[in-house]
Amino acid sequence: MLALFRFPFSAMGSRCEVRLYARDETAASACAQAATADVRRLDAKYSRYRTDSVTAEMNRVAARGGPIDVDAETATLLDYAETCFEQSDGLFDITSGALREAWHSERKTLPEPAVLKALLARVGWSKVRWNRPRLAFDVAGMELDFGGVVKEYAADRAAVICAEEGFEHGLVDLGGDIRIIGPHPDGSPWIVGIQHPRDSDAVIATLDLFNGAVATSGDYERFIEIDGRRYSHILSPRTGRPVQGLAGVSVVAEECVVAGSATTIAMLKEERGAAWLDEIGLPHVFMDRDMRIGGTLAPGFNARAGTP
Amino acid sequence: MGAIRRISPRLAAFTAAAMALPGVHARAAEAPGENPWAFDATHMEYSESGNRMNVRVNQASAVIPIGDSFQLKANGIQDLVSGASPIFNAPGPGGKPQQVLTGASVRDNRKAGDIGASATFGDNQFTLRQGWSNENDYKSTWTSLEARHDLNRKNTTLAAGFSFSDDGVSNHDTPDDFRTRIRRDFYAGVTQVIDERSLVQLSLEYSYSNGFLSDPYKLVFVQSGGLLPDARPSQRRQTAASVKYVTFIPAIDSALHATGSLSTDNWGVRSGSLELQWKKKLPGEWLVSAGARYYTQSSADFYAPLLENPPTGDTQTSDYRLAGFGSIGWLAGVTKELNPNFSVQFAAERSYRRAGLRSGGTGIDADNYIWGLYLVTLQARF
Repeated sequence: MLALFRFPFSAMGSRCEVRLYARDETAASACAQAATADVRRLDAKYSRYRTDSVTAEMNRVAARGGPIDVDAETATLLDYAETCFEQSDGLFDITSGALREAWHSERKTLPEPAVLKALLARVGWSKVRWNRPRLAFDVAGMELDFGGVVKEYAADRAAVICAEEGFEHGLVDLGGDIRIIGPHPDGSPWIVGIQHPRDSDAVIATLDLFNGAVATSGDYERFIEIDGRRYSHILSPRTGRPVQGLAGVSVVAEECVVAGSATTIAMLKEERGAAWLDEIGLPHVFMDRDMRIGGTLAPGFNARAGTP
Repeated sequence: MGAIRRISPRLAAFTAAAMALPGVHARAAEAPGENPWAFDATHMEYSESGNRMNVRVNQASAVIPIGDSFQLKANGIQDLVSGASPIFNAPGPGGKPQQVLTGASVRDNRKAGDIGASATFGDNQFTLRQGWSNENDYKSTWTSLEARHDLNRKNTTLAAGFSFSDDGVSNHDTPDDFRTRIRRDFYAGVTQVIDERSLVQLSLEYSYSNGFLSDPYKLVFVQSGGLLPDARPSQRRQTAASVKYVTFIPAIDSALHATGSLSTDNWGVRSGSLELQWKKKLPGEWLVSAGARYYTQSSADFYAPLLENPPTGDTQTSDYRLAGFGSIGWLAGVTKELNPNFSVQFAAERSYRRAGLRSGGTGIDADNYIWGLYLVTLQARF
């Protein structure tokens, strides 16, 4: 008889959880620990806040300009980020990190347009040359940010670690970015509620997930408040300003990393986010700034997420 | 229900990039590899209506890989046969033939086994097997050799085989007097993958038997007086052809297996069969199947339910297996994969034999019966 065991933990600035069905807690716990350890490894490796992280090391080179050779895992993440850049027509750009100098949480006033213009001169994937394993920064003062990729990649890896240990029923939830290991033991799906961007007690949609992943991005989870107005933590490399358009969006995909980058790109596309999601063809639900719910997973839309 | 969705070029680009990320997809290696250890254990119960045969079969088999290219195989079977068997037909009320069954219940215990080895060299595989079967009144020793060759990037597989069986037949009255029966089987087949959803398999078989081919327990009733022993020609040549088509139908998320076969022999027995099976995977690693089977055959030239006068030739039989008959049956099964290594299967069949479904010759309603079987199999793969 399989029982559900839950292993909550904190990582990547989020509340996280591994849920596993197992015969006894010992086996489930050992697996959850292995999965958690890998999430913490990636947190340490790609954190913007730790001076010993790979991201920090790359950013020290980015700050002064010049080349750096990266390890194999980082190289595949850079390849992935390059795909995101190409498929978002340049909006998903991991070199947008420098914009955080103008948009940080202690800020009390809006940055001057001249400041943003100066920062944008240090932003742009086209200003780096990526030839695996060498990343070269042509401009000094650049900064990388793996937001929208690493947490989702970590959710995928943690779920695959559990699957490869033989666990068939469970999920990994890293702050709302969820990768399913497998459905409940009776074959029924996990039911994931998508939170209302303005009302944390309400859901705008519930998804039935047998497998695959769902990622969510919104202006409610992390934001900057200036003069009583909320600004998204997602910054556009075109304008240098926080995106507007969608209050929140959730995307279902096979891999959490694909779902995560698709949500981020939809946010970056602003009013054209919904159209871009239709074009890519991934199941999704969104709420716009006028609190209108839409997308193929919106209640009433004749479609279902995931397949048994 | 998964409708087939066309993947957009954008999604294809994301998926390809995600595939390159280490650890985002489970390694295929988690499932048993190409050359796994395998152990199967089966228990089967077969029964015929009207106090006829009951057979209980216990079977176990093992496949032991040696490196990537060699396999050793072993298989053991124990049967327990009980119940009554028809001996001959006698005229009943109105002259209608009626069966005369063995008075006492037959009880026979059969032990059989075989060992074999397979070797794979590139696109070629050779399998040699040696088998034995032993019961009180029947002994068999057989050898088979099979060769397979893959070509066209494994979309085509050619197979050919030969087996030779040397049997000894006696009966309870003369238990030590074994008479020889030799059988040789030749087999050739081709499997062709048509597309990602379907394949077709064609096979041809020829077998030649000679020696004592009669059944020492069967008799033929002669109305003008007496019983004659079952006597069959000392040579039998059988030819059979079969075709199997397997296809996956996305609209119903299921696979369909259709098998048809035809056979003929120099005894005048011609048969045909058609089987349809539907298989569907369900969430939770369940596989369910359901199907139906139709079979028909004509009687042997020397078959008669009973004879009015002694035959002019020297062959005669009333064996229900050489009569004209047909059958319709259904089968159902369910397999549960407990994890990638273990699975358990239950299957059941029920078949209705009717003389009226024969495709030619003679058959009698007295031989109509229903048979059923169920089996449970445990499978392990490592």
